[in-house]
Amino acid sequence: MILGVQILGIAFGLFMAYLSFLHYKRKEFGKGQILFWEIIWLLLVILILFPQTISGIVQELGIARVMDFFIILGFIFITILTFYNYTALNKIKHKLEEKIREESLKELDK
Amino acid sequence: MDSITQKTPFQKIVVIIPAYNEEKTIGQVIKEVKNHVDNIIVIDDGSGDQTYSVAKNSAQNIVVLRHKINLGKGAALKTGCEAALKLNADIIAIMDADGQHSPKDLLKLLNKLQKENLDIVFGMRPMNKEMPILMRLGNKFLTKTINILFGISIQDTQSGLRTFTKNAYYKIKWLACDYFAETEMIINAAKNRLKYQEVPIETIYHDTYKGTTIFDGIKVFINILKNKFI
Repeated sequence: MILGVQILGIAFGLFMAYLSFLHYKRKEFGKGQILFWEIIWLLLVILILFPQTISGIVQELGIARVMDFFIILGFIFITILTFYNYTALNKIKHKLEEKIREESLKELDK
Repeated sequence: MDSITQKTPFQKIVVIIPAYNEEKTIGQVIKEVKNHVDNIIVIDDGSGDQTYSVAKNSAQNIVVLRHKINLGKGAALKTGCEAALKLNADIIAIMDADGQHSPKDLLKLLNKLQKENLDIVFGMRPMNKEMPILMRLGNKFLTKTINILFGISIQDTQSGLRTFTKNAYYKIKWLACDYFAETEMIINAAKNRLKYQEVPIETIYHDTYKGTTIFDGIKVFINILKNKFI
């Protein structure tokens, strides 16, 4: 029997898969990116539907429930994503600064 | 007003004025300074008002550059210094656009730099009741921290009025785009053992809501620690 929390998780996974597809259709994602994200969401949905498939690994890791494993995984994922966003943002800020300053200095040559 | 009578021949002095939404004061600041330096460079740092056109129409010997979006004081100063070098500046001065610095003080700093053959001269504001209390406390704390961590002896690390030679610029070059740039200059001056002095200046506070905020102060403090320990 599927629990309420599983339904919520599946709905979330499907919604994110749809969002990723939307980005692909708008040409904001390349083929590699859409493939990566769709695999992630598909895996999430499968694991939510059949949590017992990873119960062995979960026990091996000393985690009581599959649900706890998902929460830990979520935290790890968010931390990685935050770090990635931080570095990407810094890179963009730096590039933007260079470009704007370069352009303003062009006025000097006029 | 004094003029720089002691100016060494062939030393080109360029003053850089970073400005962000300063249409009310920039014209007056330029008028007061224009006769005492060879060039004025105003960096309009993405202002939403008429700062650019007011500055452009204020004097003949002026260069006005514009950042299309607001990058911060440090970035504006970087652009200004690069432009000054392109104009073959020997001495670079920086001052605020809000009229808080007196041109007389700018001349005092320039004279000190040239007479005593220094690398860099900082303006030193009096820490009296004229300075808003939060700014006074924050400044004292940051100044103490910098003095202890970098073995330098400066009374006012956050003053925006300063002058330095072209050669000193290469050694104090900063990376920060925000208000930390001014602190980074001091840290780099200390690291490179540059010859520095402070000159007392007066400060007129027109608008307590402009300039550095408490959050800028916290950011500067974090950056000081990062600069020292990371």
